[in-house]
Amino acid sequence: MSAQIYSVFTTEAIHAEPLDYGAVSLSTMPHCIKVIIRGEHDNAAFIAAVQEATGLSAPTRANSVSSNDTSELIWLGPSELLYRLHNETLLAGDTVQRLQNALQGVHSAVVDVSDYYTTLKLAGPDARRVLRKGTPLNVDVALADGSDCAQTRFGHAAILLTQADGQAEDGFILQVRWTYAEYLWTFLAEAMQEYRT
Amino acid sequence: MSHVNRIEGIGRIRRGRAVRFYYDGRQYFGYEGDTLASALLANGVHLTGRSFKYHRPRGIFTAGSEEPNAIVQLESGAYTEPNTRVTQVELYEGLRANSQNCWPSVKYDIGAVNSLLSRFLPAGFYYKTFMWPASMWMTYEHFIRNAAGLGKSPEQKDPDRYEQLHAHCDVLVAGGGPAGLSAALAAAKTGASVIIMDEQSEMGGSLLASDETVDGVTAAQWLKTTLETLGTYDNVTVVPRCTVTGYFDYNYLTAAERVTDHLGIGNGGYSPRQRFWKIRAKRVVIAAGAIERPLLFKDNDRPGVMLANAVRTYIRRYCVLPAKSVCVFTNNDSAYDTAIAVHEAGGAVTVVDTRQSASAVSVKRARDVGITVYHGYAVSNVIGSRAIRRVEIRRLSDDAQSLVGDPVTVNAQVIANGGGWNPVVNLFSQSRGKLRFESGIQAFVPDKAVAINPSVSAGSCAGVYDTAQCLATGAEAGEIAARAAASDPKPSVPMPQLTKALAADAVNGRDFYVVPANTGAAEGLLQKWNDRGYSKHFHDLQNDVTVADIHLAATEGYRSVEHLKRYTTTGMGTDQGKTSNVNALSIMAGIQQTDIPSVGTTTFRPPYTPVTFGAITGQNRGELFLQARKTPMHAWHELNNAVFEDVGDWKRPWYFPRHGETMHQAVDREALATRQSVGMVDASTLGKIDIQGADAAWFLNMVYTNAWLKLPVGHCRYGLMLNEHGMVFDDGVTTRLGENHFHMTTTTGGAARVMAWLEEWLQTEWPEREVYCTSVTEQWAVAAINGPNARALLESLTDEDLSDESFPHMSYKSMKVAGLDARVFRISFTGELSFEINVSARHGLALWEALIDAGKAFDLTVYGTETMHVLRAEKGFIIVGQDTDGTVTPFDLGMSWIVNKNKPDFLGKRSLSRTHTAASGRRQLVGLLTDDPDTVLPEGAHLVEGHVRRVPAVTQGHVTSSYMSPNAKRSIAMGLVTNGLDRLGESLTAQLMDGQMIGVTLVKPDFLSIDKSPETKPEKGQ
Repeated sequence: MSAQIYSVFTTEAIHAEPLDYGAVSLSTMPHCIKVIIRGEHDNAAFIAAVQEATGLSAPTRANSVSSNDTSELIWLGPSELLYRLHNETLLAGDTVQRLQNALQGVHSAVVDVSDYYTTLKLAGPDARRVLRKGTPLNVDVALADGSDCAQTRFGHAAILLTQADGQAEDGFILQVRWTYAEYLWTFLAEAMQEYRT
Repeated sequence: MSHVNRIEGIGRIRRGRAVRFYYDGRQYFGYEGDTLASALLANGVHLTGRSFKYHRPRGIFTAGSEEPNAIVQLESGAYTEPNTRVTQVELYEGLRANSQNCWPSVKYDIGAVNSLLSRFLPAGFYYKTFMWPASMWMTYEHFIRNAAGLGKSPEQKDPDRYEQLHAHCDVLVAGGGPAGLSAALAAAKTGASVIIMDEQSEMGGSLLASDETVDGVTAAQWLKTTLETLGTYDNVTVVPRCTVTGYFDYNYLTAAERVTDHLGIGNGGYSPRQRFWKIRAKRVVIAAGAIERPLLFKDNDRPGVMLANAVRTYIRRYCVLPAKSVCVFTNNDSAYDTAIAVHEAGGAVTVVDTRQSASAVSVKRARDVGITVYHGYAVSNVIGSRAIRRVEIRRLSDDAQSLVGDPVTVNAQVIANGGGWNPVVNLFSQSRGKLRFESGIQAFVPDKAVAINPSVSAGSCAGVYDTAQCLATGAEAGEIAARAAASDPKPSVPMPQLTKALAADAVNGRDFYVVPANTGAAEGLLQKWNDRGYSKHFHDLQNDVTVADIHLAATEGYRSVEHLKRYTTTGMGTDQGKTSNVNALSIMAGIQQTDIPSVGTTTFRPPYTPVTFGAITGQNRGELFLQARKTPMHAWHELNNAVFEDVGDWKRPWYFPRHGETMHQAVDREALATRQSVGMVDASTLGKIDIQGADAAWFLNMVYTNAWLKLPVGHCRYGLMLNEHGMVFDDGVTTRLGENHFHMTTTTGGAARVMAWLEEWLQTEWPEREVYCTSVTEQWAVAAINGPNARALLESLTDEDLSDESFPHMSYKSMKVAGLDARVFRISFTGELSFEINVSARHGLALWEALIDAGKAFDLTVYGTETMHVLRAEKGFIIVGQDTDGTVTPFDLGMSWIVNKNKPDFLGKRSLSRTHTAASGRRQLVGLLTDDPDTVLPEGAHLVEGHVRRVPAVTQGHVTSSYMSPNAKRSIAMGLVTNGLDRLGESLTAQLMDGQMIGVTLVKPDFLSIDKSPETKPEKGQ
């Protein structure tokens, strides 16, 4: 048998040179571990287990994020969280195992979606205006607080919006199914055209 | 720079900047700040086109977006735009425009013969004449389009870029005149977020052409100060060149911004040409202004007849006096401002006032400067065709029903026509607000009591014509809107309205709009059509509709306003009757001897002015029209000459032609090689759902027709999903990964639908059940290897035992393949020995390339979706959506084995026993063999009894799948046939559209005589 690893992409699903027009910039983000955690938010055992496994307090307010330097817990629904972990040495499978161990005996589901989604970063003073070209959501209200997140659409792509480092000034992180990433990038690049000089 | 009609002054033009442009091929010059209309008038050009029906010469009628006449073909080739209003086109260097609707030229137009024939072209002419015979309609339509059409559509791809932009605000102000600006300022002061939009190149509205004193300063100074003040507010967005085009429910509005049109072709830099705004406003202030109403008289369509306020605007804003001698024809005070403007510009002016007397300040002022005023007179005749040479006026009788006395000749080349004002109630009406007819100003105004969406109308669109009152109502409206938005962020009604009375005084007009015809007309039929001499009183200039046409409509019974509109075409076209609707209503009211409210008004529909398709489309064109989703192995497919097929939004390899193969040759090769050695297909697009929870097995038992509770861990099962009606709506293989953990696959196109279906049942019917579903479609890349050498190929990449004993059909193993963590499923969609290898999406290409390398030893052949379809059809496996269409039960598919009758319940079960579903005579899936093995039936072909062509034929069913099978060495097909399962062995005929009759025999859909593998059915027997 062959153990040779062929062309595995190690960063993200699409390869694109960053765009930087000053007022707004666009880049791909490094690959990170992404895990869907299902469980009832009003189940104290579930919340406790998630906290134990991630070191983060689970966000119980709708559309909010708790985070530390390397990881985020994102509220996706009344029984759904997304755990994102930025760690180049850990394997997704180990993270899933750690969560499953903590949630043993609690009604829950832990699913690795690291490769399902990819993330782009849109930053700069005019990033909000670029977002408004594709999303009908009132971003100013939905992402008023640094710990806010939102699930909406940009053009035809369903996206999850969070704020880089918990601050809108640092830009927005757009998470999207990787098969939509090329479309999303192309749309954002088009929407940014007017900022070219 | 010499412009024959340019006068001294500053206005809003920049005299230092000459701009060259071309009209009908001739070169002219204007200034920056000019519109095409003002530049043409400055150069003495009045004639801008020919009319729609009679090809009469027409000129510039207005100075704004209400223009019915002067619409031109702007630019050429890919950049051409028809029906462009010259009054809205800002002049730019090199602009080229051509008049429309005339051939060979605007001055000598062959179609003008229609004018001579006008007696025979009354309203409804086209309907009446071209009705019979119906078979000729296509020919007639072609003729009519050519003879009567407006501009020409561009035939090339639009090279410009457009964009959509979503916006949210507390207060949207539609209109940037005095009322709108005051409203924006008042709202801004409260801290509300404000967007103010105006269709003109700069804010100001009527103030741009005003010599009034506003708040103690000149209009220009007030405007400058106000805009500067607005500029200091971060919470205010001022958008010029932007028309609020639509007002929809829940305060959703659309607007079209012309971002770079005014810069000329190719000068827009990286900005889009136009931007389409989609706005959610908590409250709306409508400050859309008013449009002047024309008086109607004989030959009132001649070039040189203009609205009075347009003449004033050309003089004061653009420093253009449209003619040295002007006749102001009016029934009210407001047009006297125009007379004064002409006088101050050095022109000769005569006022013809239908009123017996008038005493307003402006009237006195006109008399004081020596302007001649004829009271109680009306314009009776316009001399001249392509231009006005002189005007004849006559005294009105006391009852205004006839003209008396001898004509008086007035020397004038322009008639400034002012019959009062109509508030622009379009947006209010679009928002489903009701209108009220205000007899004091003879106009429709918003009826506050029945606003459906929360808006306030202010200024002249609410019937307030005095500038000071516009400022006051605007300020109050702005504050009301901002406070309402702050106290109740939802767009709810009712909302507070203005405290000031809106009913107006203002213009002090005479209720008189149509000048009586000079004489009685000829007798008989012609008289009827010409109706008392009104056949040259044009009330709708764009559609060439006359006062006589309305009489004709009334005579023929088209009295309802909606019938009137459709019969005469009044109010249609690019201007939507902005200058004609109210006149049409008042004429019909006069004929019926009733009042305007009794006749009613037509509904105003968006858009307010035409919007380009480009703007509406925005970014959704070209590669952004539909996302192209690609699998992780896409790059390999591209390198290896794949021809792609669109499957939903996925790009899937269709076939892989080698060395100039046709599709047929490639598919033959791929299908043969797979059954002879091993073939591989990219199956990554299959929908995948991770299902976990203590009730997961119970849940599957409910959503599938077969039994799931006892499926052992590590085993797979094929399932059919039914909807509530018992009809098949998806299928796929689901695997038990753990006691409470399943991996479900769905059809490629059904992934989202199945996920929504599962969630709907879990959330609405079974919330107490412990089941979680998570979509994982794109988490996994899938390579499926099929064929007798599939096991040997996989063995070369793994240490796992793949023997039948260790890894039987319909089971699953987690293993390393080519060093990658993989989930391998031994399931088959071809009937061959088959493994579906799943790895993380990031590793998909690596897995694929490893299989390709290892496959060289086994002559591995990669195949696409077409071969996949052939291989499955050879075994009679169905494709949901191709062999089923939402009317097919499992029994209809001959798959009764998959329906577990012992289960207490499953989705769709009850419907299977409904009378109709259980009755005989249903269409059932069977195999079809053509008498001639080389003939491939077209999919969709209908099957009939007998060999003689009959029309109409009674169909026995139709072909759902049809291919040439290289393995069966003949054509194969499947079809849904009435009682088909009981008719195996019978013959039917496919009756084709082209007359061919193709004999077929009904068989079991298993087309391979030698069965090389026991895996004939995906799961039967388990």
